[in-house]
Amino acid sequence: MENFLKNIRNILDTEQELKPETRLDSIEEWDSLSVVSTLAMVNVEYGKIMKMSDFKEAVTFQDLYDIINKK
Amino acid sequence: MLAVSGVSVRGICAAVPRKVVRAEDMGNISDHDLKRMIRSTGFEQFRVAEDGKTTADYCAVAASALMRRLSVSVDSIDAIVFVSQTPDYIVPSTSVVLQSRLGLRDDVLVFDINHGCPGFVYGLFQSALLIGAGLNRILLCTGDTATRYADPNDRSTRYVFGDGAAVSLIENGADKWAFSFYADGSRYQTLWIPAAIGIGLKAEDFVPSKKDATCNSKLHMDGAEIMTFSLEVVPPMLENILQELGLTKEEIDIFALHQANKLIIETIAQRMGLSSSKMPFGAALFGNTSVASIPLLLSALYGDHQRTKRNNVILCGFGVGLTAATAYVSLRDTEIMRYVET
Repeated sequence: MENFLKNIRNILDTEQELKPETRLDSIEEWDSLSVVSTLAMVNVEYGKIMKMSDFKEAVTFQDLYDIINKK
Repeated sequence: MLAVSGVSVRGICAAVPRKVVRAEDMGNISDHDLKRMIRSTGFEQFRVAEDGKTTADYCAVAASALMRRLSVSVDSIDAIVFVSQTPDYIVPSTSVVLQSRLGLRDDVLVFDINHGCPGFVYGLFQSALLIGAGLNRILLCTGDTATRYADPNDRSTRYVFGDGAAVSLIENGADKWAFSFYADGSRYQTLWIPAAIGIGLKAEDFVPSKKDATCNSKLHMDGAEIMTFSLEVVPPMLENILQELGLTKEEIDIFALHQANKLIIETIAQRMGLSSSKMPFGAALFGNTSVASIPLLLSALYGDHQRTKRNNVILCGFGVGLTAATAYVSLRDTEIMRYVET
């Protein structure tokens, strides 16, 4: 999880604190640009190909992490 | 895999608008978002067609410069294959406009192909078939002026597309090329202009829609879906053609991909274990020039550096459709000119 958050921090380039329980909609930089970058990161780091719609149930970064791991 | 023999690319010349628009000057975006945008897309500036200039204008400049450099007479050209999604007119084809503009014979074959990101590979394939049918020299004209269709309110296209063209001279020769294609039309709304010419354009197509503030007569792009498609289709397509050719990645001098954006190119390269010199992103100063992006990349890389090794070249265009096309070619003896600014 820590490595995942590190990658997400790098993508978002945000000054806001990121924790597993942080809500995606509380981060200003979690926008379509970040989603595309996350799709790329997931492919490189986890070898998985995902769609934006896969993320639609995610409320927190922990949810996002779990969805990616379940794929 | 499809194979065509007895062909060669004698020369390539690209032409881009002299007008440069820097991403930072486009406004309507915070410095922070601009930095994130450029880090992801890689596009620092864009070549933008001057008012009144069309795709054919840039193709004509590139064609003239190429024929002059190669000392090829216009009378020796047998066909124009024009590939674009931004032709000069709906009717007639832009290829016939170019025939007259360039002063070609009146018994030449001229036609347009409506294709974007994979269009350069489609054009090479079509040209190779024409050579096989007995023609000797073909001007393959590939160009787009997509900035005309990028809505000023839409960051997903405005900070991505640039304008440009390239002309390649295809001749009979000693090379053997290989091709593979992919199409999934069920996803055609991923990158499209919703206004349907087929049912007639309406006044409301030209005003911002309530849904996303973007006119239906402008480009709409789902960047996330394009990313997913690219990762799904491109790496296996490249691996498959290499396998069928019996070549390793190491034996390929360059993988020249459609310059969709930096993130897509770098992600595919990382997945395939390729360096940035083997699979380069070279459009930072141009933008995504759609059908022209592959030859423009070659021009930017090899123009003025003719001795660089490029015996085994893989080309791959992917995107609009959604479609993809891959070619294996040799550019060993190809005169690749540095792009012309006009």
